[in-house]
Amino acid sequence: MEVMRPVIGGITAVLLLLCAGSGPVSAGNQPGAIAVFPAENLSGTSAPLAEVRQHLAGRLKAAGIGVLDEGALEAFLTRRRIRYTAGVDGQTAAALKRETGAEAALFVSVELSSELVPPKIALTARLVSTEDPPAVAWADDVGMSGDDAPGWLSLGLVNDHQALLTTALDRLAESLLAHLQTGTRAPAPDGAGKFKPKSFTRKLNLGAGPPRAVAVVPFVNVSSRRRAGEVLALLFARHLAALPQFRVAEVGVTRQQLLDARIIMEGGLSLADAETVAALVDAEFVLGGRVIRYDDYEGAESAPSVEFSTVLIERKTRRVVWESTSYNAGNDGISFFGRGRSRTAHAMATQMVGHTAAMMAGLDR
Amino acid sequence: MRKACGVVVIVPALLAVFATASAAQVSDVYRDERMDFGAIQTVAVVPFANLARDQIVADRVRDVFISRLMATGAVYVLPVGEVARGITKLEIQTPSSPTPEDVVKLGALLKADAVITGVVREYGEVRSGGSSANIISMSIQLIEAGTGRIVWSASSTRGGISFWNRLFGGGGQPVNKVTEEAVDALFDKLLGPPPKGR
Repeated sequence: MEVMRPVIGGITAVLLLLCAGSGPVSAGNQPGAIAVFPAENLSGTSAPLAEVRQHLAGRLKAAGIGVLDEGALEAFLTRRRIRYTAGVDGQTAAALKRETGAEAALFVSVELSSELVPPKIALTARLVSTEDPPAVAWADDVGMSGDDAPGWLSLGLVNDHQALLTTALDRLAESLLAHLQTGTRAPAPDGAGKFKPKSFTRKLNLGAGPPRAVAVVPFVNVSSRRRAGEVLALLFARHLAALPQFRVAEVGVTRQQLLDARIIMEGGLSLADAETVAALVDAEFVLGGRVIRYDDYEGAESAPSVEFSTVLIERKTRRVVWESTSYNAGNDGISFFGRGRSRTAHAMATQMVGHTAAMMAGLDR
Repeated sequence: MRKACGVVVIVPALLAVFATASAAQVSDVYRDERMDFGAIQTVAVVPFANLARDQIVADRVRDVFISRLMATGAVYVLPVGEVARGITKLEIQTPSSPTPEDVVKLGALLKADAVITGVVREYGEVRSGGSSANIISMSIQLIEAGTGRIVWSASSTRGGISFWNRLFGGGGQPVNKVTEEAVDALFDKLLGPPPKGR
């Protein structure tokens, strides 16, 4: 909650200005605005990145939230020679606030975009404060397939990729607006019991007290899906950010520290690496793991599959305090008429990660 | 009377044959009787050797093995990244089958009491006639880090085409379920009472 206070304060100021009759400034530097960064493409194929950015910026503007002008953001990125736009480190965040007045930055990653009928889309988004160190104030995700709910006589089928994308973006925008207006965290999806870890060990005593700082590093990817390790790391950051027990270090900060310390985790997270990362980002825990499978499919008839293992290392004791293995296929536990079927790897992964994060926090949903 | 005498002679003879056969039974478990297994607190699981067709199988089985071994609470398993760091640092050429010297060095570097190696011999679907089912066959060795000696070894095979599969069809159990059963069977052999037989 402490993390969100400055962000909410800035946004509230903009809303008050709007109520007083002065509309949001749409060009140049704007105190209290949100900088909507270019979307990141983790899909391995072409994705409608510009459209994602424009849609979310448009929805924020329509709700009266100040959005940093795209030209001003581009000028900032050019001036600072920033090429990585899927996260922000402490220095850059502070500079963004100082130079443009932006109170927060919005990052969106496109995990899956398939136009083949039925279309599929998966997105992860997070709002990060522009302070040093930046903090994740809100995070949410959405994964949809055109045949998620075909309904009677298949009248519910969505064959238009554009329509599906708009629905997914609207869902994200509504979650973000709800957070900006009420300060609530994005709720975790109601994961079915079948998505719980298949085996786990928990030697973690969080107790009562302030949120514990966690750094999430990219998972080692041994699957055939490109960048699946980053996808899993983003999902864990999203779900841990939704839990009051944890305070998640911004992904951009962790990435920058990994680069600065020249840490390459070829076989997984070692104790020395975990200690270094935790010290650099001032975290109590470091979370990593391995992705074994992250398979999506195109078209109508197949089943996605996701398999990963998770490890949480405590900085103080240099011990593994959480270890789990999760695996599911899209056709696990389906009932009549295909109820319970998952049609994207994201739809399963977000529930699997949600369960893992909740159990890590000592909650058993 | 003659028939009764025949039964009296044949039954003990058969019992003697079975008794001999059971005495000569070879167990798939080796356990060093001189080893104090309670002294093993921390283990390092090196990458498993893969004799199956799918190259990712060894990683998959190793992850399940580590997770379930940790969950038993019997030992502490070092993170795979830490083991990988040790292997890289010591420049071990074949990490799935380290030499005793490699094991001693790795154990000293990682502060592990034992090193576990494994081989996945078979994994995936097998077919016979019109039937198919998932199968896994694997073996594990526990090597004492101080001496490089094998102190425990066992193998496990689960799944495959059963009599009922042949009779009624069906695809057997999912491969992940079969893997869990095979790994749990190994833990029963490791943590359970010593095996009978030779």
